[in-house]
Amino acid sequence: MDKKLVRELEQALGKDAVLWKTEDLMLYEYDGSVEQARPEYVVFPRSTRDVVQIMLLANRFQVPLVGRGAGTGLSGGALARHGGILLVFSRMNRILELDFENQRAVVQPGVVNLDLTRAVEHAGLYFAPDPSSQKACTIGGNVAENAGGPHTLAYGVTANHVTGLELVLPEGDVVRIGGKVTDSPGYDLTGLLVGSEGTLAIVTEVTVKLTRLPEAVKTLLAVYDAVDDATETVAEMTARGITPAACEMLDGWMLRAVEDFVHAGFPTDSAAVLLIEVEGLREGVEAQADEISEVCRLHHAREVRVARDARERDLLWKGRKNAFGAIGRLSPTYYVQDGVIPRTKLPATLRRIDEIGKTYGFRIGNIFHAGDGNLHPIILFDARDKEQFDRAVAASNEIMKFCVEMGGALTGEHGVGMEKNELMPLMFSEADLNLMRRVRDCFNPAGLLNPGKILPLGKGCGEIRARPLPVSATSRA
Amino acid sequence: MSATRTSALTRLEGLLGTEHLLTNPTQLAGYEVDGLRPAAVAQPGSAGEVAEVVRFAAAEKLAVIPVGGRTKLRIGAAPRRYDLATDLTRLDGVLAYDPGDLTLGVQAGIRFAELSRVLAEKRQFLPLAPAFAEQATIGGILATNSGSPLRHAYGSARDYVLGMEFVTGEGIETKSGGRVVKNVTGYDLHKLMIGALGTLGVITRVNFKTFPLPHAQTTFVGSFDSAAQALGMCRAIAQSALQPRLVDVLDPAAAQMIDPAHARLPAGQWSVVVGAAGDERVVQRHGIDLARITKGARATAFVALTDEEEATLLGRIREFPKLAAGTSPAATLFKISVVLAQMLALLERARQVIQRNQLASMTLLRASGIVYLALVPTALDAATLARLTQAATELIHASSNSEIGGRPVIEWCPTELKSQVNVWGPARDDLMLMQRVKKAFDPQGIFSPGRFVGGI
Amino acid sequence: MVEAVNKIEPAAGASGFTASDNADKLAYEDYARCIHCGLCLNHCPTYRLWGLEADSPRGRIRQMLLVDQGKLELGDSFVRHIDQCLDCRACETACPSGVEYGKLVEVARAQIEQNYRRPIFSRLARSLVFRHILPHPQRIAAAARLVRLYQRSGLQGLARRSGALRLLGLEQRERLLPMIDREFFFSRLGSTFPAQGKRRARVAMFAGCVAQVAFSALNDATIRVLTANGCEVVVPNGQVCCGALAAHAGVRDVARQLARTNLDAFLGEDFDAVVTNAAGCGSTLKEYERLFAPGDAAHEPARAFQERMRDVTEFLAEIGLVAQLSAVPLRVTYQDSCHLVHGQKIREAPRKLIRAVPGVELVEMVLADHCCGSAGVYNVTQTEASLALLEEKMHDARATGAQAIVTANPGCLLQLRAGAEIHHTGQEVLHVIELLARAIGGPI
Repeated sequence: MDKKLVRELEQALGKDAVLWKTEDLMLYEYDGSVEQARPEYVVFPRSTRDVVQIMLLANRFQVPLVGRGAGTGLSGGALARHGGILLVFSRMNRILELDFENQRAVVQPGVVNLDLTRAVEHAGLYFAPDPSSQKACTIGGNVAENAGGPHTLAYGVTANHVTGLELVLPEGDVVRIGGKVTDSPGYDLTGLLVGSEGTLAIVTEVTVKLTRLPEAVKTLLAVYDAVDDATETVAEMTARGITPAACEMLDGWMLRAVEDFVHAGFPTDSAAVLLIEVEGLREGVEAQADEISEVCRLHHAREVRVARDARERDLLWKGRKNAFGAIGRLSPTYYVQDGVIPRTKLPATLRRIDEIGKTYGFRIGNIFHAGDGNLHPIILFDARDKEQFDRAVAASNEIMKFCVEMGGALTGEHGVGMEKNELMPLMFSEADLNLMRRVRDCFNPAGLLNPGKILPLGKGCGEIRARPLPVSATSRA
Repeated sequence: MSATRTSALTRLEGLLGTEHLLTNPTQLAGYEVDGLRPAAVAQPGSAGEVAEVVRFAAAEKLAVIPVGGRTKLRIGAAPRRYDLATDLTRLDGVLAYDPGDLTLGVQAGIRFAELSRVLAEKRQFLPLAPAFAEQATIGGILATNSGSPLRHAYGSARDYVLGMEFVTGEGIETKSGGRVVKNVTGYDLHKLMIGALGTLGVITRVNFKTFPLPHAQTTFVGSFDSAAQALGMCRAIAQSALQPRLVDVLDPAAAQMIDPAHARLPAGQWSVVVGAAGDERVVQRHGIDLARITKGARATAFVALTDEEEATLLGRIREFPKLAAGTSPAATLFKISVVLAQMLALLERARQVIQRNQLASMTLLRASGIVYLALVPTALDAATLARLTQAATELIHASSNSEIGGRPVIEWCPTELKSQVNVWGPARDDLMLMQRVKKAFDPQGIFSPGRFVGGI
Repeated sequence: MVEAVNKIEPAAGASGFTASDNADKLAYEDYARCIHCGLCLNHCPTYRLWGLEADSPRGRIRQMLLVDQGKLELGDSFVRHIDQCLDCRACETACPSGVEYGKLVEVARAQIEQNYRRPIFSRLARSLVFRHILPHPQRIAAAARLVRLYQRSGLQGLARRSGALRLLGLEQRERLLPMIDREFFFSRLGSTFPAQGKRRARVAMFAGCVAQVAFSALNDATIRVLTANGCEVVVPNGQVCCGALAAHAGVRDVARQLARTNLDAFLGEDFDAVVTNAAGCGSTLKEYERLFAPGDAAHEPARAFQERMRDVTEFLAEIGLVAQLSAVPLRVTYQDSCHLVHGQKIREAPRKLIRAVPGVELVEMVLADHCCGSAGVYNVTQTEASLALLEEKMHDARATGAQAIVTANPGCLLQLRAGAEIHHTGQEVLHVIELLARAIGGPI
């Protein structure tokens, strides 16, 4: 910690906007993931001008700079892996413009995802990306991680809803890319920036699309006695070209944890359920719901329930969206994974995950976005036991390897962060990674922006190294 | 071409085989870009061969323009140099198609029409609906970010391209993204390739998300006396619960070109073409609601098209850029990205500019935020060129001023105009970043030098 | 989690938490339930105010853990952030993992009470209020008489007009002072009020402490509403303050003592329910079990007692209203009392009762379940934060266009009344019971 930098930060931002004492820094060494890393300074800008000042200081003192929203991320994206300044957007949380006619909003990065929807729903609009943490996570964080959510099945991830950004570059330049319009001549820098996990620039303003609320929504709950039947249903729905707005699967074991918390009426004696939502015009919703019910029954669904009203629907979703948290009731510690596979490979993959669990001696739960093949295997273990922790990481890596072998991806929505950067060679060649490095260097040549994320640290070595144990394991690891 | 280059070409011939290295002037004429003719055309048969060709070009410092169906070579500024065309049309295979997963991987040189036939067998499609559909290749469609009327419902290519493989300026085979429908692993470099006009790399493979063909579809046409009324209908649709797959507006001149017999697009009227698709009941509902909306917007007519009429009309609307370009050697086509709320103001400015410069024009508007404006003088003489230059300059200025906030690009124009007008519109402050990105992909600047934004 | 970290990385020092009573200790599982997912952040009023992790539920739990592990000093910083917590428990509603934050923060405060030396003035004031006044009904009455003298002698008007309060920085705090009743409720202790019509239930009423000198009318109205709905109401003798204020402040020994007295007062007879009109009291009364470690003689009685404990709105909604209600033409909005909605998870009952009154139109307010800043004595100890929250609340309340704000706890009533006055919203502030009493008719 450099006292001089503290002084300069305080001069630039005011004393109440800078933290540097250990007792305060200790509260920024975690996020929603299993990772840990402590910053040396924490700052709270209120404007783009503040961010520029911070950037210039980071540059002058050659310390890393890492952006952070609410710290709900699941891959350690918002942790200062190599120390330096953690730039927290909790006070840059104003909605700058609501343009209802063009269905756009311009917001500061610290605006909470659900707060934007609340601000526009009276006009029949909403912000479509809906990560499970949406009541707390910020739009800046969503942009950094290219966040998804259950309804990305129909509406796409954050990148599909961002049309423009204001950036602060390491040199302190403020640059606007994209805008309210959809096509800007030149390279699609907005497309590149969304999901770049704060390694290219600090985003200070986001222009997003607002989506019209559907006229009708129907939520179905299909109940199964065998996991295979549920996954086969998803595969067939996809093959038939049925595209619901969301299609989530919870295995029986997860169901029981969730039900204990929400009392949504999930059948706790079942092997799996599919939570399927269809949206749109009344007529289309009816038609789709009928067809989906038919496919579910064809694959031996024991029961297909339809939520009777908004309350029932909210309850079912509350169960889904709080699922990870509800696991806190089952086990003090767990590790949630995020892999993607082709939907035709769902049944085989779930069987493989079960095998891996048996091999490593874990009970692995599954609750995930079945509709787009985005798995979230959850490994429960006891963090008090280091051997168990290592075993959990090994099992999880094995699952990731299988996903990639199936033609899938390492992460569907949580981001690479510091959790999976060493696994990147599973998917990408050294040439691929080198080009990514070069692109990063175009924006962030000195490597001060969020160092140690996305790209593997070891250069020239394609082998996969085991993830290091967090400095001190927290409740999740 | 110098002697050393000639000997170098011999080596390239050895690499690809005689039949895949074209040097015959008549053949080369078909590869001209803005009057520049390459010394040779390489037709690699695999991604590996593409990489070898690029490495060869990089070593020899040859300027390379990657080409596909050669339907949109007019896009962009005139190249500074052009030695070698890399023709991708031999890479025309379907590499992976998993209809059950709604995913697809194809080589870049496959023609859109051919691919559509493959997908149709499984009752699927890609929402790309490009002009020059018969000749255009997937690689070319993406490199030029060709418009599609279906973007209203499906978004643009960046929304359903899942990953790509490409060869960088150093001849290195590289990829980004993946094959699955959801993926945030690593930087989305493939997004940069869309609309990059081949200035970053040669696309060799593209992975797509495919879409099921709708059970039913119908297209409706509302006719209006004025642009204001037509756009009023677009706004009303945007504020309704309806989810049409396309909402295009044609001015009377465009309607005249698309439907010369005025079978369905009445003469002198602004036509709003709305496509509905999905379940039978959904399509019916669109018909009912649209009838009400058009009435409220003071339409003079509202009709539903028969399947045949629909196929013809949509086919011609899809080909609007091609048809407009074909009307005159001086045809100049603007694509202006602009928000719906500013379209009327933009039209009014454009009308003034066009009138002042005594030019004819045609306009196609996409409610999703695109205006195609074609200036169609009858001949290409010096006086016309002068007026064209003046009008183009004014249009770029008018559409990109702070009030309209549009982003104009000239997608098609006579080469002569390119020395007078920046076809990419005014430079913005992100140009510096783009130049750096270009350097990362193509350090020597061998890909299409000078054709892209800001002289990239 | 405690042990987890200890195993992997030995603790830096000895735990900052030591406790004499086993009920004031936390176990591994208490902390481990927090998976630091952060879903609580945006629901925490103080996090929303300042944007600091240290003033968020997740950050506060982490601080408790660090102190417990001996990695963070139980010092000024820790105490400040724990003091700044409203204990509104909105985070419990948001928490998917079932962290019992209310319990954690009360234990942390007990630890502070035992292991931290506050400045002398603060120490004296806390001791005076929590140990020497609140536990003793006679002293509450005596203090109330003093305040009443100030309020009714003209001294208050003088103080307000003269600017003396402003000079002392007490101008807004003074507005939060409850208006002391002419007649105290203490006189009702030991009385039984018969049910009107057929007796449907026999209930004991918990009368509160400060409520007996400042909310006698509300207590009377509660009796009237209950009896009008067929309940026989007994106000048992020997009852004392519930101990909520003491427990929230970490003075758990006093809270335990009060709880024991109350258990004796209420468990002597068999009632269908024990009811209270104070959500803050109800929340603590329903959690008496937490004050006593298993094995403590009071543990089982506490459990028996809390099973019978009901908020008055909860109880009335449960048995249904049978009294004749006349129309009260009023547009109202409902402000959830934190300890009802988050502490007791009662959201619908008060709304159901409000809607039952003919002529009343209920308009929902945005963020109705966010704290108004009252939070027990928070508005006195953390006035600035409290007033900032109140300002937001009054803004939202005004936006509803309601003529009256209805709530379910005396503390909230005081705060909201002060808010309506400070921000000139012109809105009346009523307890649900007062609204019902108005519909039933008779004095209120």
